[in-house]
Order: sequence, then structure tokens, then C-alpha cells
Amino acid sequence: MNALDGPILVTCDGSSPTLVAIPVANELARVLGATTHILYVGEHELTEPELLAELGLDRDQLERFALDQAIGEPAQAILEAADRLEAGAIVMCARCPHAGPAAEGQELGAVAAHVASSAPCPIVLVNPERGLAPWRIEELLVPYDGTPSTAAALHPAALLAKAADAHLFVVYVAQVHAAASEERGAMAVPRYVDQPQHEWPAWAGEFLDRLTCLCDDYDIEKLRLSVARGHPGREVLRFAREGGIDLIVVAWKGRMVQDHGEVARTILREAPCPVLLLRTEPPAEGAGSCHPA
Amino acid sequence: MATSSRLSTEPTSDPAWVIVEKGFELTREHELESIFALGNGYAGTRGSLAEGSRLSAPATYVAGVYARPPGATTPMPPHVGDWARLSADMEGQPIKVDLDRLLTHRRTLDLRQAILWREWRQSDPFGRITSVHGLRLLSLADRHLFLQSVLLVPENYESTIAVDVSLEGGRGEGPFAFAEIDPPGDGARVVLGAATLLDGELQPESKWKAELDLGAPRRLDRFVVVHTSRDGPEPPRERVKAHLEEVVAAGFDAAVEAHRRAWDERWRACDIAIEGDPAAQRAVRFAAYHLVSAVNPEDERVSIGARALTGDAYRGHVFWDTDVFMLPFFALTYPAAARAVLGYRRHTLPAARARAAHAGCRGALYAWESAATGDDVTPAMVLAPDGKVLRIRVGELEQHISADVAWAVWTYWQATADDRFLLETGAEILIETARFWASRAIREGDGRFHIRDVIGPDEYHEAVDDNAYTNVMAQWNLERAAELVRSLPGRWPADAQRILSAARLAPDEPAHWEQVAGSMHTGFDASSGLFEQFQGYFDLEEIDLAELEPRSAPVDVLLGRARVQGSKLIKQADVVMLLHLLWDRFPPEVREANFLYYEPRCAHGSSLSPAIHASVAARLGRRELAERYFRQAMDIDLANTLGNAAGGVHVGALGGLWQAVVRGFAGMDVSPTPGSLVFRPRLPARWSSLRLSLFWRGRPIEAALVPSSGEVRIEEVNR
Repeated sequence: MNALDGPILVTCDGSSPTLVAIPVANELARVLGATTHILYVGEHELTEPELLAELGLDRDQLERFALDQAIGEPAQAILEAADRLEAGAIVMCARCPHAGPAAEGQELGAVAAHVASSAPCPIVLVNPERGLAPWRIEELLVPYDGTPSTAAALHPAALLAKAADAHLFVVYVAQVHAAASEERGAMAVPRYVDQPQHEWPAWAGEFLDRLTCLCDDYDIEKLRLSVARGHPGREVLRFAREGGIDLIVVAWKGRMVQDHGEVARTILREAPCPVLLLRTEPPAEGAGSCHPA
Repeated sequence: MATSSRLSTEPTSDPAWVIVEKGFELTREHELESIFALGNGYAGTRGSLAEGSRLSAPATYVAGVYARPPGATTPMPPHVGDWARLSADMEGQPIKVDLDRLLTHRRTLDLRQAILWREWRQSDPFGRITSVHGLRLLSLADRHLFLQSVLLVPENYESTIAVDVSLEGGRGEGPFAFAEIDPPGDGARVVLGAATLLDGELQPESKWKAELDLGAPRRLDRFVVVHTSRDGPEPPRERVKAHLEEVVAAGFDAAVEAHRRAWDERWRACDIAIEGDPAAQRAVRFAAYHLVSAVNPEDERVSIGARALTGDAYRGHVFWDTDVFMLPFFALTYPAAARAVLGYRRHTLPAARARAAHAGCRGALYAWESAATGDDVTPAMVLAPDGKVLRIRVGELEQHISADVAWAVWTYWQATADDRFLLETGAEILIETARFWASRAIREGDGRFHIRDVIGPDEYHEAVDDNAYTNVMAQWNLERAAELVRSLPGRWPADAQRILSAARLAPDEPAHWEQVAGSMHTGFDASSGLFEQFQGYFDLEEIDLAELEPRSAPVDVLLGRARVQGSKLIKQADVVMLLHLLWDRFPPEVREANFLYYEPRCAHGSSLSPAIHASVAARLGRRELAERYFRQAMDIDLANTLGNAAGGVHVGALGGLWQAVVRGFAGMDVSPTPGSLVFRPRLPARWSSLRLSLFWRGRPIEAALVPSSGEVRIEEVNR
């Protein structure tokens, strides 16, 4: 299944932090022309009115949704539902609310971590501090390090931006202690800038050509390409805050333990907006928690 | 109907002569188009897919033709049409590599024959398997002639194929098609003419259908001829027509053979054979291939842009790259081409004089960045990717180029003993550039001449005073001009009066040049043996480059321009460039001290830098370091570690690579014995032998260097 192609599965257990995912899921579904499936995972089965009351929702307020419920272990129930529905994306709360940014290693709650590591589709993680305010996709941001791996996020991000008629910011963060990628087709910031008055326009032109090739009819005038320097995660967060970004789209390989997924973890820890994780490698058999052991 | 089951020639089988790309990866298409570009100095064509793809950027350029479309701030070479375009479809199903099921795909740049080969098998949705073999070349024997041949075999089907080989914007006239391009703002007219044969028969039109019988090959051959109004008084269309008739009559295979012979001759004159290092062997031949492809010995009005005729980047603009990085290759292997390249500098002297006058100086100040006329075309600013507007000051302040041109003139003359060139072209350039320096350098209170407010090769530091490279090259320029003028009456009495009279040389000018040279501030400190790169350099912040590694971006991106400007980090070889160009001017201990000082502080933010460091390190006997830099230079285009080979190959860096082999590893130098060469080889450990083909003072020579036996054999050969 193509990324973001299918119903949008939003999960909650009725607690107020988990409800933050619903406006995000609704907007995503609206933009993509998809159905919102709300999956309530609880300890016992509820009637529809009880379910709506538990969720604090009025049926008339929702557009294009379906209600579902499951009993049992939440992560497993979510993954099964996503599989069954052939979900285009899962939208859920990232973790229990903290006072201030999450500590290192606690970027995701246990359920979110388990779902993220095994989800068969992209997952949108919403910080619990976001609240229930309406959400619109007008500005997307994609961190890019020049590799085809992170470039894998560009196409779905561009498709989403096109569907939402939104701006797309691509941020390349140049950093010390980072060797050039060996991946064929990688396109980093130029290693040599002989004459900047020619190199920068040529580089930007090449980047746009490749992106146009990936996303045939995206309005290229809504694209912004920027080069920043420093810590990639922190620079992305700075751009997100300063640019009023609505959604950060991150390509990741599915692991956030130890040294892996450091950029994704930094972003998830302090993101001022929802984060869409796009997996570039399929989940391993029996994949477990993405927290450090 | 004549059929042929094979093409005119076969690919070179020796892997030391080919660059191969297997498969198809769309995102790499632009860089491959650059690497696989074909050229003959008159024109260049990117190695784009004939049928195109979603990312294809086909382009053909004609040297010396620039356009300035409305709104363009600087001139640029126009695309004169995708002459190699060929589209085909079977019953409405287009044959394209990025559609359908690719079975095999292989593109080969045959450096030996300067032919781009393509072998391709694919299956369409109906299971029909087609194999295609093709070749494409820009003739070196006839620079106005481009050739393309395609052999198509329907392996398991019969069908009808519709072919379209029409020229962009072209119209048919009998069996020929013509396209005329009038680039805006240039005044030149470019005309292309094409003729197509199918199985040896001239086709009356550019679009037709052909029957495909099971397993039966069909061969398509195309002749494309190009002329411009720059080439002569006769209307280019008439010349194209006559030329097309002539080449069609002579035959396709004959044209291919003539091209192959021309390249054979070139390789005999310039090949470098390295035993023990296949990657280095291919890289050096790749360098020589693109250098030969870039130059036209028959046209003294054009030079070579920073990306030659291989891409849009740098807009065909000419920099010191040509004079200092590329010229040595031509002077020592293709003297006629070197002479033509220097002819451009002679033709653009009026613009250089005007530029000097505008700067309040005498003589000639060549533009940092120039196009057809020699006027400065450096953009004034650029939007950097961090969103900031960057003011570009090199056009205003990077003036060492005048001395670089003088160096190129002198180097050519030393290598060729072409006195006629020196007297008719070189002398004027030497005199005018010396005049510029004599007026640019100002005597100050310390009694020394200073050159303030410049940019040296290290462009991280702008508006500096007494850049060592600029001042020493200016000093050298003044010395050579004075030396030449003083020698004219005795050595060339028949020409002396003409030259001195044309230059309106005042009797005291040579003495003044010598005085300025003798009192020039160079930044040299005898106690340390170091040149201070510019005044105040030694007081700047020390940043340890090693602590930033590994890195994949230039340091000014990583640290910010302000921080780098306040530090000792330098963009590229600057004092080290001085050592490379004027090796014998400095005693061994000065060369060593300066290299050891500046090398660790050089961030190589320019593609021109690694090869120069390889050359100097090799000459200093630092072989491991030399090899490390050499491999870094090798990878610039072939590994596409730049992220921007897409815009064209880095021809200056390729010239530097060649120099690293010849001046660096082979240790070639001019002997104290007048007119002789000496070799002091310091080959990388894995090179078991090195053979060079060169020209020296009109004599073709071959040098064979075998480290294991200590053999250094130099002999004159028959070519």
C-alpha cells in the first residue's frame, strides 16, 4: 500500500491526552479524502452513545468517521485494526503529558513506542500539550540529509502538501562529524562550492528537478529549500517554531534505541506540532519497543 | 534494401578505457549526462537518453555562442536543440527506459573512441522484448558533424514501429531537415541540418513507420551538421546543406572511422598509462578525454568555461581555471589548442584594458569571470540556501587573474618555443598585464610596493591586503615582461620595433617594472621561511580542521562565513598554489615550510584544490598525503561526492588531476639545461609504472618511469 493511502486510524482510550489526536486525524482525512476511523481501546465494551460520551464527541461534529472499539492490550489492538483496515496512517498521542519537554528516552509512551516500531503504515504522533484546537495543514517541514533514505519522505510529503495546498519546507542541516553518504543518488549540500554565485543556484535547481521528478504535479512555487547548520534535530525544531509549521514529516528506519533515530527522537521530544513518521524500512518480525532496553 | 546486423564499430573492450553505468536510476540522470557528455571543442552534447525521461536535461552547446534572454543578468550558452532525440513507439506503446520492464541497460563512455554506447533490452506490457544498441559521437575529424546510430532488434515479435527523429523546431526540405536558432542578445545564428538513413537508405522525412520482422535488426544512422554565422560570411544554412550532402555521400561508416583516427592521434599525443591502479588509470584518461573534448584548436576567439560544454552550471563563463589548471595539459600535449585558448585572451585584451582603466590603472585587468567579449560577467549577488543574500565580490577584487594569464602565456612559450606566438600575441599580453601591476601596486611609506584590497585564490577572506599569491605572481609578471622587453632587440630584432612601438612603451617602463618587482611586499618572513598569506593572517583564530571531520559540507556552511573569515581556515590552495606554479622560485626549505603550514589549514572548499595539494605533496616526497589528495581529486566527478556534478564536469579540477600526475608524481620539471626536461618520479606505492606522452618544444616524447628498477626513460618518438 502506498503511504497515506487508506483510512486514517485514530486511537484513544477516552483520557483527555489521547483525544488530542482526533482533530489532527480529522484534518488529515479531510485533506486526503479519506475516512476517519476512531478506535477506542478500553477495558470493557461500550454502547455507541457511551462511546461518544466517553470520547466527549458529538456525532454531528464529526465528518466522515467510523467508530470502533477494542478491548485488551492497546498497542496490539491498534496494530490489528490498522492491518485489518489497511490504514493509510495511524494518528495517536505520543505519550502522557509531562511538565516541559519529555526526557531523553521518554519521547514516546509505551503504547506509542510499540505501535511506532511495528506499524504497517505511517504514524502521526501528537504531543499531549497540543489540546483540542482545530488543526490545519498549511506548512509542512521535511528534514533532509541528502540520502535517498530521507528523500523517501519527500514524495509523500509533497503529495500531502499538494492535497492540502500547503507550503513545503525542506531543510538540509549541515553538520560536523557527519561523513558524506555512500548511498547512490544521494544529494547532499555540495562538498565543493567553487563559486557560490553559480554553485548555489545550480544545487537548488538540481534539488528541485529531483523533487519535481518525484512529485510530478506539486506546485513547485510552494516549495522552500533551506540549508541550516548545527544539530539536525534542534535546527528542525527551530525552523518549526519560527516558521509556524503544522506538520513535520520525518523519514526513519524504525529504531530509536541507543544511537539510532537520534534526530527523530529530538524532534519528538519538543515538536511544537504533530510529527509524521514515515518508515523507510519494513518492521522486523516481532519488532518490539523502540525504547532503550 | 540493405540491412546491417552490426554498428560501424565496436566498443573498446579494455576496462581501462571505459566508464560504465549499468541499470537505470532516475535520480542520477543529471550527473550521468555530465559524465557521459561528448564534445569536440566546437560543440558539446550532454549524454542524455535519446528518448528522454522524467529527469532528462538534454543540451547541446556551441562554443562561443552566448545568449542573453530578457531578464537574464549575465550571458549563458543557449541550448541549440536536442539533435540526438529519437522517439519510437510500437502500436502506441512508447519505447522508453523509465517505462516498461527493464531487462538490461548499460551505458558506456568509451574514452578511447570518444563514443557514447548504449545497450538496452526491455520488455513491454505485452511481453515483447526489444534490444537496442546505439552509438553517438561528436566528430573530432569534422567538428561540425554529429553522428548517431541505433540498431534495433525485435527479439520475439513482429510489429510496426513509428519513429520520430525530427529536429526541435525543424522543417524538412527533401531528405534533409533544418532547424535555425537565433539566441536572444547574441547576434549569431545557429543552423542544424539532419539526414537519416534506415538500413542505408536516406529517409525522405523525419517521421516514418518501419516494419519489424522477428529477429531482424533494423539500423538507423543519423548525420547532423551544425554551422553558425560566426563561422564565416556564407549563410550558415547554405553551408549546412552543402556539408550534409558531402557527408551523406561519403558514408556513415567512413565518418565514424575518421573520428576514431582523429582520437587515435590525440591519444598518442596525450595518453598516460598507469600500471597497478585501474581506478587512477580510468580517472586520468577521463580527465584527458574531457580536456580534449573541451577545446577547439581552430578557433582563437573562444576559451573553455568552468564546466566546458557539458552542462549549464557556470553559464559557460571563463575563469582562471582555463589559464592555470587546463592550459598546462594543452601546452604539453596539444600545443595548437593551447595557442587557441590563449588567443581568447588576446582577443579580449580590449575589454581587459577597459577594465583596468575603470579601476584607475593602466594596462590590462582581465575579468574574473568572462564570456564572449571578455567583459566582466560576474553576478553581483546570490541567494544563499540559508536565505541570506550573499554579495559577490570576486568580480571586483580577485585580480590575480591578470598574472595568471601572463603565467599561461609564459608556460606555453616555455613548452613550445613558439617564438611566433610570443611575438605576435604573448608579448602584448605580458606587457599590458605588467603595466597593470605597475600601476596597481602603490609605494608606501616603508618604501615597499603594496597591493591592497584584493581577494586571493582563498575566497573565504575578502578585501585583504598584500595577498602573497597576488603579490608574488604580480612580481613574477613584472619580471618576465621586463625580461622579454629587454631581450627583444637582441633576440628578435625584426619584431622588436613593431612590438615596442605598438605598445607605446616608454623607455623607462621596463626599469620601473623591475623596480616595482624588486620592492614588492611579498609577506615573506625569512626567519620562519613562511609567507604570510595576507597582512594580518597570522593573527587570526586557529581552528583545528581535524576536529570538524568527518564532514560533507564546506566549512563556511558548517561554521558560518563570519567565523571562517576571522580564522586561518582557507578555502583552497593559495600560498600552496604559488609553490605549485613557481616551484623553482623558492628554495626547498621554503616550499616545505609553507606546505606544512598551510596544508592542515586548507578546507578544500573548491574542487580546484585537492589536485594541487597532491602535486605539491608529491614533489615534496610526501607520497601518502599526495595519494590521499589525488584520490580525493579523482572522485570529484566520477563519484559525484559534490552533489552538483549534475551541472557539468569540473574541467579545471580535471586539468589539476593531470598536473598532479605529470608535475607531481612524475616530477616533471624544466631542467637547468636550457630546453630540457627532468623527471624526479615519486609514484604512489601501488603504481608499478607510469608512461606519459607529451610534446616538448615541438618534439613528441614519451617518458617511462618504473620505480622498481629506478628506470626513467625519455625518448623522442615518431607520431
